[in-house]
Amino acid sequence: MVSILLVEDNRFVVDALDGLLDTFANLRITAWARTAEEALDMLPGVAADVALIDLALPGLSGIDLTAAIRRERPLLPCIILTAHREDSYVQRALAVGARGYITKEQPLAIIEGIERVLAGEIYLSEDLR
Amino acid sequence: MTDWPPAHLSGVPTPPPGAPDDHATDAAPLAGNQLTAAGDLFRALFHANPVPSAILRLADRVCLYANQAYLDFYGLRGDQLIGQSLEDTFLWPDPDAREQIVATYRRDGRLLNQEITIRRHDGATRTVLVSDTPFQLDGQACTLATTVDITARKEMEERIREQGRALERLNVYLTDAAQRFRALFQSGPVPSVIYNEANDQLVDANPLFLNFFGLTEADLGRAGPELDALLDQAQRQQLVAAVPAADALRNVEVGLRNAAGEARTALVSLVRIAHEGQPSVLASFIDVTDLKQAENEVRRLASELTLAEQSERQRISTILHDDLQQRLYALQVLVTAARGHAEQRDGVLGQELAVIHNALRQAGELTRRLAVDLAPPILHGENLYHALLWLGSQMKEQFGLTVTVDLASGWRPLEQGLRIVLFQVVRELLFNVAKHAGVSDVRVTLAQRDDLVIIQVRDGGAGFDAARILSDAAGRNHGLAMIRQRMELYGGRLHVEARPGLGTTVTISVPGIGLFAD
Repeated sequence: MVSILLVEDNRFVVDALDGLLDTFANLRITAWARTAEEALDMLPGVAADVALIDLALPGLSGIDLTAAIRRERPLLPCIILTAHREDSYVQRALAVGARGYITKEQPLAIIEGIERVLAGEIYLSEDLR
Repeated sequence: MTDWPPAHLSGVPTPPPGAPDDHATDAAPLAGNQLTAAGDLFRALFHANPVPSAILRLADRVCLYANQAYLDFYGLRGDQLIGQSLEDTFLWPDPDAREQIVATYRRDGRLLNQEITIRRHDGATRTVLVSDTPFQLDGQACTLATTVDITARKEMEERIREQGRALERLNVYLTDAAQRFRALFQSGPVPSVIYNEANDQLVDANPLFLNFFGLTEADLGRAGPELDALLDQAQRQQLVAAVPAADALRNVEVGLRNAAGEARTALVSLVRIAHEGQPSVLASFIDVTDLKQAENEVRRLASELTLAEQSERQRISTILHDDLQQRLYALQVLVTAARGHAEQRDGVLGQELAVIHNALRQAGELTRRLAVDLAPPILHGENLYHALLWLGSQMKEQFGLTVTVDLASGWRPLEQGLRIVLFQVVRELLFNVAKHAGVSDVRVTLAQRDDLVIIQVRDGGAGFDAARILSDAAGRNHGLAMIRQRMELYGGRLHVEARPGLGTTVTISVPGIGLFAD
């Protein structure tokens, strides 16, 4: 089973993703933080294989959080999950070390994205390629 | 014996019958010799005299003798004059003048420099002084008639009189002009002063000027450092030096300090004049402090309005993004999961869920775009250049329009309200290009010159009739007209260079004073 640290401030999305991942794959949300700051607080004690991070968070952004995780847990791969498709965001996310950038376009892309990132690839949603 | 007339006076005919024969005398030889000598002298003088002269017999005013000057002046040959009555010879333009001459002669027995107008044989009218001096010649009553042509003198006198009258009129005009200038200067509606550039001295000032600076007429004549309280010397010299020779400088903005010590802003106009022969400058100014403050207030309010509007947009955008869009996404995720379950058991339900999923995806996309359009995320904490780069990527994505953004060096960050309104204006212009220009690329240039922010949007597309769009009542609600109105609130301007088929360049210039972020 793959453990996921989900950083997402919207409870509806969290619940929906939980159901989706449970239905289609051997993926589990084992830790959830509403903000980047909360995620950083829990980071030392979290056992996760991958971090799935919303870009637009209250306070520090998902990109800021990715950069921080890369410093503190360099082996924990980060994937940005967002509605923003602009190149500038994608570039900045990859520049700070994100391994994946998935748009909230096709929910199943999350599953594919996590699997590919854990396989060592850099993953971008189909609509960004 | 010398013949009368002398032989060299050709054309002078022989005296008529009855004319005194000055050689036929039986006087004693000595006296005769003396008389002969006197006669010769008289004849020589008579003929050599440059003054037109003639000897007339008084009884019938027949001309007995005339010198060459006389013949030349009247344009006559000797045979047309000698032996003829002057009554037949002369043309009198004014019959009354002739009567007056005759009356004077009868009354005084002579004429002395009587001014008359005569018409010569060639028709020319001349003004002359005539004199008739009676004398006896060989027992006949004769008169020596002389004519002095004073036509040129009279004309000269008339010209002098005319020049005198012109000078008088000019003097009146100049006096009036000086009085009018003085009245205007003193009662003019704006503070005015005459400043002698050479010796850096106040020469004259009107009451408004004196009141503004708290001066009295006793202060006129102040010079040099004493004037620094009004406007420091460097500023004075800079202003005056900026006035072109024999020309004027209009509405230059300067900072002044009034009698109460308050800093005021004024528009100064200067014109070079000569004052009492000295090179001077007439300066007047309009205190625009209140106007400037009102303009700044309008700009501040416009900026606040933009921020308030943007804040409201942001609020709606946040709801759309953080709530509605996320809920739609969550529903999409849930439907995707439901599809997974359904497809294992009921193919029809799976297909229906796929339709619902697609509808949710489209609703999510629409919401996302609306949220972005309402409040571009790039506007927060980013400078205008980066915001426009982002806008370019949006234009590329939505319309396939390639936007090149050039940033001139020395760019200073703008206050948020101005940055937002300029972003919105450029976005509107790029929409116009995408929709109407028929081109696939456009160039945006950002520059700052002095206190002006200058943005240019240039395309090589279809162009349009800019004058019509910006002036017609129909164009009042056109995007360009609305942009212009919005820029004017910020004290800015919109200039459009466009002609059908020749592309379009829109230039926005707006003062950045007080609206730079730093």
